[in-house]
Amino acid sequence: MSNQQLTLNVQIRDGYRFASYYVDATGDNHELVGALKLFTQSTEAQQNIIWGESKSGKSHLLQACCAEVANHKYPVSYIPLKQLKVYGTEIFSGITSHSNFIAIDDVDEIVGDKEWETALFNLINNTRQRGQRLIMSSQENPRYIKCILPDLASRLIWGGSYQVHALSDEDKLKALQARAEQRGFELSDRVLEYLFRRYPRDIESLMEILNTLDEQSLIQKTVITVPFIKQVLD
Amino acid sequence: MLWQQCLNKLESKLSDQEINTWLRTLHGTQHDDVLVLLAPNTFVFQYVKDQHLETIKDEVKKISNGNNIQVILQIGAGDTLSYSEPVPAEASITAPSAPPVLNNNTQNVSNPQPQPIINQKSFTNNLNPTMTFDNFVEGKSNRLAVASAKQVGDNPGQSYNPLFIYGGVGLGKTHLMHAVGNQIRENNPNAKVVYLHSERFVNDMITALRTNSIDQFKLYYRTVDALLIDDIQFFAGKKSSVEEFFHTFNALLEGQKQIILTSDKYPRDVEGIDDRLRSRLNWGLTVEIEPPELETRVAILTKKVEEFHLDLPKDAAFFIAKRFRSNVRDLEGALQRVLASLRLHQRTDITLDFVHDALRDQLASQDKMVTVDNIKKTVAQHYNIKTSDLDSKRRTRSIARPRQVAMSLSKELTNHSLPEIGTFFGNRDHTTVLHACKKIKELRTEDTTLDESYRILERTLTR
Repeated sequence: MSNQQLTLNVQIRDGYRFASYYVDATGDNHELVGALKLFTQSTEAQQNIIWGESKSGKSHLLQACCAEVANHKYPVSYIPLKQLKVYGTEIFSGITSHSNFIAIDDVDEIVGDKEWETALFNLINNTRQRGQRLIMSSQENPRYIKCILPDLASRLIWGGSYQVHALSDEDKLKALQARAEQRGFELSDRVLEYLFRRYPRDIESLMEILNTLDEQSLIQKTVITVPFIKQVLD
Repeated sequence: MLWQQCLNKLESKLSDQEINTWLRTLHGTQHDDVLVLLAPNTFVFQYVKDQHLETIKDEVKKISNGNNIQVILQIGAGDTLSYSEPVPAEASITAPSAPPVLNNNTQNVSNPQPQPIINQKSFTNNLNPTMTFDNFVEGKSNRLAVASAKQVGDNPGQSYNPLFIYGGVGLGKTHLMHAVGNQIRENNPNAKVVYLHSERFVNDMITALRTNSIDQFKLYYRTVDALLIDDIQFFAGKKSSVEEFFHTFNALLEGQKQIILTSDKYPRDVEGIDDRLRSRLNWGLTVEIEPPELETRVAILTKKVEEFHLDLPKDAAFFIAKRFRSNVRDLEGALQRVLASLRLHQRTDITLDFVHDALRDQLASQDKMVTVDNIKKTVAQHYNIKTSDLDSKRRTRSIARPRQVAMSLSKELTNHSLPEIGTFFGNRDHTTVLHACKKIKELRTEDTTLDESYRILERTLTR
């Protein structure tokens, strides 16, 4: 395992907390977030899986769970398979004897690979046997994920299964405003309209853009306007 | 706590993903002026050592006001897992669960490879005490398996040896196996009962070979009173493990020690094991667990809910049992969702409406999948005919019977009316659909092959 192999291209993002996950009180994800909060507060052995389309906020929620559990001083393990699959099933070794709370992101990444499916199957069995908490995420509804091992397929739906609903455009606007307010600035309607017209409209990309604009506006000591956005992003 | 303080500081310097993936997984304990950080495996150890150890040391130095706190990074398991009284499955044999060895070399791997600690003193049964006969719901689908398991629990090594339990996933094979083990231990607390998954047997053997402790490995497994190995289909293709298991199997049988095995298939059909072992598997009793029928599924749900001191009304239980039918895990998953929703809304009364609401995501996705078109396609594939045959006027039995099956499934699994279903099948009259449903209901009680096909199709369409 060379050092170069281990260097990950992980972008700096902040605020993967429940507080920074936008959820409308009457929205589809309200119950999901409530259930996940309860899950992190409980010490009962449980398993959950959240699923939804790409960039709907699953990684954010999984990491928010980790942060919440870590606050109670329990070791947690967050394993984003999209990034870590390349390093082999060894990344699972020892995890169950080590962490109280395990989060496996992007389960779909390893479906179809027998070695990986067996490793995940063993991990789920071990967490059950040891009374630990496990949360996973997938893009596909876990009931319909086509695993090679039926033993794994049935275990994916063993616990609670929750859909992460992608935000509507209206909710994305509210989410951006809410995040900006948390950071202590406001976004004008014109700025929001410009962002929505010119850049990818998934919430993850929009939040990344907001982070960049925030950082640059602090450095340049200026407010965020359309000309400023053009200068920074184009 | 020093490590917690250090993590808090690092949170503002590193990305959340970096923190969650690498640093929050470390278990930190302070011993006077030494901070020991335990990584779960070589992989995490290496990454943290290369990418973050210097930063951690700097932070620790700042937090401790320049006190010379030594930071040691090692591989090992923490001790905070005791809060939930886990069954020490890994720790018993492979995980280095002993306290970390402090030494003078910082960033040292004191124990890079887990050492097997198998010896006569360390028998760990791995049994889950919550899986007993008392909370195993008996029904038509598993009656024989339960009766034989109870017999073995009371007379290990004497009645059925080996006891081979087979059946599809999530039907309760593992629960039954643990129940036997717990029963043996209840009757004789000194009995050496060992439960393990076949993968674990293979891994332990590999570790034993690597660490020159194969004799201890053999001794460990050949001196138990009851050996319970789950999912032996995972032995497939692992020749030397199968060979070793074969010898263990013989030694235990000769000594009249009990062996219980589970698999997803009948012994004859288990792939990747040699014929000698396969024939010996038939020496004892082989029993099948079938998917639970509706009434058993309702009983399972009721029993589970009782564990939480709650009441599940019949209409709600039947509703869940009808919609989640592929296996017991599927049922448990749906129930967990309902119970979580109950906690969230701080309610204690479960009603049918509440269940509907709590499961709406899953129900919606099921509805999307279970369309009449999908049913027709699945049925046609199952009976090896063309989908268009189902719409045709042909009335030969090879076509008419699958058509009736598809109509009956459409009535059961979708909300379409009988006239609507008729139009999906070549504009047939609703009385034809009604006749088909009655006919299939009748035939299922007489024709086991048709009944089995129907159940397979139901599970395929609703899983």
